[in-house]
Amino acid sequence: MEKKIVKVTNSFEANNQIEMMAEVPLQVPPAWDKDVQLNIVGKKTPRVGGYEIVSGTAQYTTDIFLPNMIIARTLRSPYPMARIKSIDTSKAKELKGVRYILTHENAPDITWQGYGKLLDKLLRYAGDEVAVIAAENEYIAEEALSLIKVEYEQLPFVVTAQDAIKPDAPKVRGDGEGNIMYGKPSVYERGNVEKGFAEAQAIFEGTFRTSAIVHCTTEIHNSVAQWGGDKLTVWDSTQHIYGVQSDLAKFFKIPINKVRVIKQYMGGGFGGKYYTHKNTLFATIIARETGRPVKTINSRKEEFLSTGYRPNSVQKVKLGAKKDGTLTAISLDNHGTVGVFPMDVAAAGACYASVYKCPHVKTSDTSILINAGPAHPHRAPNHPQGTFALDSAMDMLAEKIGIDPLQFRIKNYTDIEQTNNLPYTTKFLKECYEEGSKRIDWERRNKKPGSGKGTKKRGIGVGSIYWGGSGGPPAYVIIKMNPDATATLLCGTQDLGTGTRTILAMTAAEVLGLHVNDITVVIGDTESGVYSPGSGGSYTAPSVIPAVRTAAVEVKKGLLEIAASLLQTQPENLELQSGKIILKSIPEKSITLKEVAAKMGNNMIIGHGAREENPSGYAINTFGAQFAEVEVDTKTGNVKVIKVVSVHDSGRIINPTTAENQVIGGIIQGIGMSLSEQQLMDIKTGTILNPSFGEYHLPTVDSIPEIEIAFVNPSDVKANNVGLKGLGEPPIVGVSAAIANAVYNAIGKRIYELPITPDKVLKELG
Amino acid sequence: MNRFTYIRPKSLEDTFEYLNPTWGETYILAGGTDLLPLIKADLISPKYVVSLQSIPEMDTITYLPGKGLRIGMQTKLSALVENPIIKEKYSALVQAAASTGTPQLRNMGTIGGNLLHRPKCIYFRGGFDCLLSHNNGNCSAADGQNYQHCIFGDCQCCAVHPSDTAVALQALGASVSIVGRKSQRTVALKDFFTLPQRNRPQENILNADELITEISVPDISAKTKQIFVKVKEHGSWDSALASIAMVIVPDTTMIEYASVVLGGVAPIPWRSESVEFTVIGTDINPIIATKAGDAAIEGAKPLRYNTYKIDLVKNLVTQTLLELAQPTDGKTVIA
Repeated sequence: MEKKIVKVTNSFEANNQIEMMAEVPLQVPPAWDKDVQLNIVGKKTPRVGGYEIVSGTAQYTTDIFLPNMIIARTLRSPYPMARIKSIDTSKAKELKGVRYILTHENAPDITWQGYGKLLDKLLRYAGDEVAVIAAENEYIAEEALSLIKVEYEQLPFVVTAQDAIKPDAPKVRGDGEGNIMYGKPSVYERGNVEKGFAEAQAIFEGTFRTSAIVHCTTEIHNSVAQWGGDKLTVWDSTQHIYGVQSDLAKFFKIPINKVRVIKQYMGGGFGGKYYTHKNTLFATIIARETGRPVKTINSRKEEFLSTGYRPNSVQKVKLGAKKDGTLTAISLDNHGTVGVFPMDVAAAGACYASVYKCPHVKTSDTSILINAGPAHPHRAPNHPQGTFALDSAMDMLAEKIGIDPLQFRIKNYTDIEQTNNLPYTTKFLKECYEEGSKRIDWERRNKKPGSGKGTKKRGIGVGSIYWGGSGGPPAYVIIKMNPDATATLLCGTQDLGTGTRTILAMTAAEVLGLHVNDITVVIGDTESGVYSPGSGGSYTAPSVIPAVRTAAVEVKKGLLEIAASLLQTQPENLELQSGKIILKSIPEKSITLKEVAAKMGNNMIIGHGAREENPSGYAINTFGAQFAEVEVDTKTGNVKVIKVVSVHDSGRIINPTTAENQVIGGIIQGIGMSLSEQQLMDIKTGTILNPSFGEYHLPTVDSIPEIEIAFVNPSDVKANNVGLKGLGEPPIVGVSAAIANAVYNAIGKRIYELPITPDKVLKELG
Repeated sequence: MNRFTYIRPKSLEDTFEYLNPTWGETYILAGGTDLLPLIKADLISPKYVVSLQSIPEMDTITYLPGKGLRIGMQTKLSALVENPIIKEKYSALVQAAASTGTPQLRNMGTIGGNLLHRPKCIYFRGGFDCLLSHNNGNCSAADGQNYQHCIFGDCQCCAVHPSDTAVALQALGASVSIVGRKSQRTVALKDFFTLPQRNRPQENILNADELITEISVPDISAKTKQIFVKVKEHGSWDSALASIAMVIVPDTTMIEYASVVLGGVAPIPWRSESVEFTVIGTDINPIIATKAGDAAIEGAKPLRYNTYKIDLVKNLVTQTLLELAQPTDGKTVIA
């Protein structure tokens, strides 16, 4: 593969622009357009590794048991702000089976997120790490934790935004810096909103609130570390093996080639495992100190306290429009609390700036530090909460003007990304609205909200999806053709549980005329793979799949060349079909791939693939529309989701089976966020009140409605050579908006705060 | 979690060897679905955990016409839900048991354990300052996140009683057989539960050296109508925001007998005599049902975040009465 060096700019998580140097292919195969005939790609295909998952033989990090391995547990601060005055580990040390105790007194001097230490004397939230004990088993480790005597000096703390921004508020970071991240809000502005509102003939104003939402991955955050000489191997429950590799190299000052990170199967990440967590470092340190493999594990409670959440939001929204439904101005003043050492910020404004056409927009997002665990990216960070408020406000304004909410959205449609004035490569949002409204039967909705009869009232609502998911370089793939015409595909991506192996194998099999089972996909290992980006930002498929195709095309070229010499013709006269290569002019004359491969023996064809750069002059975004039908019991306040229709523009769909899985999962998470999930903080003590599945209400089976899914964009040929865009995150984006609007349509009362629990519904109904 | 001695006696007599009149030393393990989480969360620190799981015949269900139903305290909730005679005669109990926890919890959880389930108050469970816990403190929920808490009871603790089966059983007039080393007594459920008191980590009259062996429910006449309805925040595995068990005996023209117990509103299953009084001697019609709803909330004192429970209880009582008054068998679940 010939390559060139370019400067690439990718849009990650829909709003961050990252510029890098990249080696990309000089030429890529022509993009698969909407009319291309494909045999495997686009067909429902069972998940590779599915049997291993359901039979319990798939090895998750939790399942790794190395000879001689010890288990580490963590002692956490009971107070939201405290200083360790003294720590006495002597009793714990005496417990039989305890092997190592790590505290701030013996931990390496590692700075954490710029202002803390890996183990700090200053504890900044209830759940902050105090000590780690490794023992022969987890039970001994846990018992030993209770034998540590810590004398804490409790300090003043803040756990609400109002308290945190007071001038005399305790400083959460503890280093003199204030509690507003970056010292000020992050502001986006175009046009002149005052002018826009002056032009408006109808204005809606309202304040919407969403709660902190916890990732609740089935698999806890855990790591296994093992040292062999100066070589570190880490099995980590991570969405980004190369990210963990470079972090470990940096923290422990070791060369990258001495760090190997492995992630084979994963029980969910949802963004909460994108960045390196402290548990990985603890395992590494204790393994080095004891010479034994170490596994760090969390209890479920610790998962709730310390591993991340989607920040809450308080969104003051104002929209203005003309009588004909043309939006004239959008303004947002949003803040959210992000804890300490946050890895995510309040940025609901991103969707306000882009979803609807509007000349005058001003958004302000303030991230406020409080004495709580760190916020981490959660599936489509900020967009579900932003869309909930924006699309609720859109419906309210539509009603004021007297226009159908869907028409109002279409009226303010834009084919231009308004934040940079670039056209989208493709935008099929209109088609999503059309298909979705047909499937939900939009005309059934109450023309007058709340006009349904009886005590159980139904309503229908819509929410729009706008997200990133362009993918981009760098992402590399190697495909090796084996002597029996099977192939091995090497890539440094990792599977969060989305079915990455399947779509990689399908794409390679498509190009090479093989079966999916003929391709072994090796991923999730920094050592055997080649770089691929972290699995976040709906980035994996659109980054890796085009590189798979490029690599496979190169292998195919080699196969055709060898077949040509065997058939005594030129490669261009040949065609690769399923399992064989035929002479185009005399189709009966053919040679099987097995024969070709056998002729080569161990003279291997190796195909190299690299992700091409994204087209310049275009914005690449994913879109969709979600429709919900709900039934509100006006006597109990219960909201039941009857049906969700989810229609997506994510470009080409490689495997409808795993794609639909993604959509279903996103919708269920969205239902949780809409109706029952909320992290409860006790203001007086600064501690989390519901760190368990019993009290943190995830949706259960009977909360899950009928779900209908459609994909409307056959191929985005400008985006990349396969025509696909990301899909991981979009399915959660519009759910809360659709449900909230459906509730309004059902009862004629607007619920301004998520989750929409019976208490709020009954209060509104009065 | 502390270290404790685990004992699995083969008979009740052996069990009493380990029961101790001092609170907090010995705990009975019936199904363990509540006890083990309490131990793991360090909310209790037993010296001895005595399992009843090896004692024979503690999970039998018998029914004698005219005498009624007897349920061994070790009967699993799942067994109770599937028992044909209970399904036929005591549908409110089946509705309550079936709405409890999850299939896994019902497969392990026992009816005796369910009656003795400690409150699910997030402050109690979280080890906060609490009247119910070993720190014997003041209620943290009173001015905290209290949207799940009580509107009745007027005591120093605002947790709600967690048992759904207790609500149904009390409405059905059930009583429990209590056995100690040298004592035996039968107590009606309405007298069994007690409002939380300081220094008494128990929401009932049971002494520390006693246990429940059996629950008996009087026989039900053919014309009796009964129902249990539970309002939850979401799907399954959720406690009641409010629940109601209602048993009525209609005569030809009017209600002859009514027994109404509310759940999710007080630290104990909350008998609503005012609703009973409103209903008895009337034919249930929308006006009476609305009146009964209003009567149900007499004396309610909501907290900061649970005023919605006033409307909820009012609606629940009214709706349930109307549902029960339908000329059906009264077994339909309406929520």
